[in-house]
Amino acid sequence: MALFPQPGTDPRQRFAQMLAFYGSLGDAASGYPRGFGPRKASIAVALATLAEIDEASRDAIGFAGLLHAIGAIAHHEEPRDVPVYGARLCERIAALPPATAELVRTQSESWDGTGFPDQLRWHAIPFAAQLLLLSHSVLMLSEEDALDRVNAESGRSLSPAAVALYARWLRLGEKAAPLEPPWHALDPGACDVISFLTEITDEMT
Amino acid sequence: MQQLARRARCIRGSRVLEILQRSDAHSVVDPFMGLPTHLNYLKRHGIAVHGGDLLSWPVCVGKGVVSNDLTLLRDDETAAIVEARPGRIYSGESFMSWEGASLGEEHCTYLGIWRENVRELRSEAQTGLALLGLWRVFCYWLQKAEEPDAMEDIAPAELAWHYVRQASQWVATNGRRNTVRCADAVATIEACNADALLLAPPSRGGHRSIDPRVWMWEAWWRGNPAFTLEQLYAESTFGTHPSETEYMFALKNLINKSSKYRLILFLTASSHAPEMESLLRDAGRAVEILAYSDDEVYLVARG
Repeated sequence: MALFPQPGTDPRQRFAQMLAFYGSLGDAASGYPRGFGPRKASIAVALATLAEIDEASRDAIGFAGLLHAIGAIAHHEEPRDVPVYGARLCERIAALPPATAELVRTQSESWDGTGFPDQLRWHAIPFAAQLLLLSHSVLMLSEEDALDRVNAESGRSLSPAAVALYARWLRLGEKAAPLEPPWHALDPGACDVISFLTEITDEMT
Repeated sequence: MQQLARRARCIRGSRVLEILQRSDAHSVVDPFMGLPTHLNYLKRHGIAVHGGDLLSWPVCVGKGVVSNDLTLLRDDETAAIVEARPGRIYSGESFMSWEGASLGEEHCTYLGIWRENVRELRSEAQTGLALLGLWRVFCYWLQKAEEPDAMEDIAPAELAWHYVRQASQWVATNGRRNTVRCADAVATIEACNADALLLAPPSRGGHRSIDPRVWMWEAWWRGNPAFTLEQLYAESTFGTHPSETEYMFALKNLINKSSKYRLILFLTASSHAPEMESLLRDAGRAVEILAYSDDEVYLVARG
């Protein structure tokens, strides 16, 4: 992958590809299989669409899913801290939609307060983050197993509202489309590859 | 049926830690701690923490996950908490008055059994861990009462086993002295010493809108289903029904008594931030505002 935009290519597209690449590095560092982040993002975005969440928030969900484990590139000794490092990094990537960092930080928080990093509970967890956690939970399961799993976790790790939405989505027979990083949502004036690499290096050191 | 709150207080240990680290603060006091998950986070990241609360059950939980460094609950000890012990006679009637729309007869019976079992634990740390796990069961029940079709029926002892065992995963040591106390905010502020003070005071008359999961659990722990927060707040810093002037005076008094802390983190909502900022500036502090959401605005006051 070339680090610098080719002539005629929208720099946001190249920047989004690079983010996706670093997201996949985070997946690998955390032990997730290849493609985990993009698939997690695609289910969460599909649920957000069904819930009629606005487009700007859906874009943030898309990036937060792709970058869910990016903190593990820098620090993976304590898994419960990975969201904090990831959020800190995302806060420094000015091109990302503003809500992305918040979702990276909160997407491992459980409805009942047993999640991490902050053990937030109930409505203190953004609904978009609840969708990301649900998507994370069902990713490696068949539809039938996934429904059993989310029903068992409703009111425990998963919010009842997110579970109800997922059940509705399955009933509609919808499939999550493969997710292209929502590059159009990036700030074109801030897609600076060099500064991104500097931020990553700073966080790692 | 008890109406559960649609908003929850949001204090994040990870945010507070970032602010403390930037200010080179290594210890913090929180006199309005509530459920001390944020203090547990700070402790696990090396900060010496001291917390206080008017309610006794969050303080007990603090003895499990804040001041406790090593004590866990073994599986046999957990089993002895979550099930009725064979041959033992439980009074059983204590919480039957709660039976109704939110809780069933079986729930009320278990509440009586669990309270007696937990009260028999000799270790304060284990009591705190048990209390945290059982509170989560109680929250599950009240949530299920609101959304009966959205959540599964799980046997009380099974759910309690799950949550009580899980509570031990938050026990950690930081090699520092960490404390919790059941006291009014002013008493905690005066009794403790630290680099920083975290203030997240209740809003005016806030006890009237407190979530039933919180005050009912206090009632359970006290063994008094008729308990109300009015009694507790009457003698507190803010009193029961403060006027706007009285409330602001109490806050000002609190900030004046905090002069020994070089850093104050004042958590407020964006709608109240300007008046709280004025209070801090009037006390001679330089104030930086960090707003993460409408409900999570930190006024970082130095000086």
